[in-house]
Amino acid sequence: MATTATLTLSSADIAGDPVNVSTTATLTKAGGVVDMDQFNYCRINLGSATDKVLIPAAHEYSTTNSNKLYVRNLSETSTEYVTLKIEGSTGVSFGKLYAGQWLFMPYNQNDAAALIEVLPSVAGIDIEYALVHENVDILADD
Amino acid sequence: MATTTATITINSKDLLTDELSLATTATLYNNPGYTTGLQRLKVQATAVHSTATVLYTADDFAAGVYLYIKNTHATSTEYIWVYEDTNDRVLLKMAGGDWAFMPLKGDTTIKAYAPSGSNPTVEFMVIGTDQ
Repeated sequence: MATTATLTLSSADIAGDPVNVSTTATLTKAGGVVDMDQFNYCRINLGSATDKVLIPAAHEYSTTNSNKLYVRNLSETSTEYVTLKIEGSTGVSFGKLYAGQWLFMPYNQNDAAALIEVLPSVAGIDIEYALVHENVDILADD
Repeated sequence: MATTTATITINSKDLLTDELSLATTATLYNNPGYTTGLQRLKVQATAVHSTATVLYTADDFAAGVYLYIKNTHATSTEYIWVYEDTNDRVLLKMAGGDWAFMPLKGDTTIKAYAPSGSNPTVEFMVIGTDQ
């Protein structure tokens, strides 16, 4: 028993012949032996066009973990996008998710200050995200 | 322009009390009509360096760029690190068998290295609009 993530990438006309790529990863904890056993799933509204912390810094999601992040922009207006950022000692934006688009990526930063932020192009965009993760305890009160 | 779709399915029978099945399909934004093609390369650099494996060259495509990438190594502890070459900021630490599908800004070069020195093979494809 395990959790799997499968990508199917298809196009009939981006090349001379059809392009079909399909791959599956079994989601395990770091080391590849033990199945992932923790999961977060949220649907949220980005109520203002300012940076929002999606995944907090690595004190919860250790630099040695093997977490996987899924994010989807639920907007139905094609020009509305969400800019994704990895913050930390050197923060950068790395891409834009337009309406209906999604991403799936390992989330395991080498920077203990790393966190994921999103910046909507306009206020009010809904997104959903899921994090399959490991070894997160309920945090003690600061 | 071409039409390319990307579908993800996440399934588990035992991660939650009830069975998990998440599936969604997206038609890539703006119907990008160009691709670098599917490539497989050995990752030979062991750190951020000019010789690191180039996955995407800045401004090769206009905005609305997508990267598919997979660490094909069979051993999960053989990592490939993916970084953007402007600030040397790591974007992905990919264990053997991991894959990612993500948008890119398009204006930054993306490279990969493998600290172990065992030269794992990376499989990747970039889709976008040529400029």
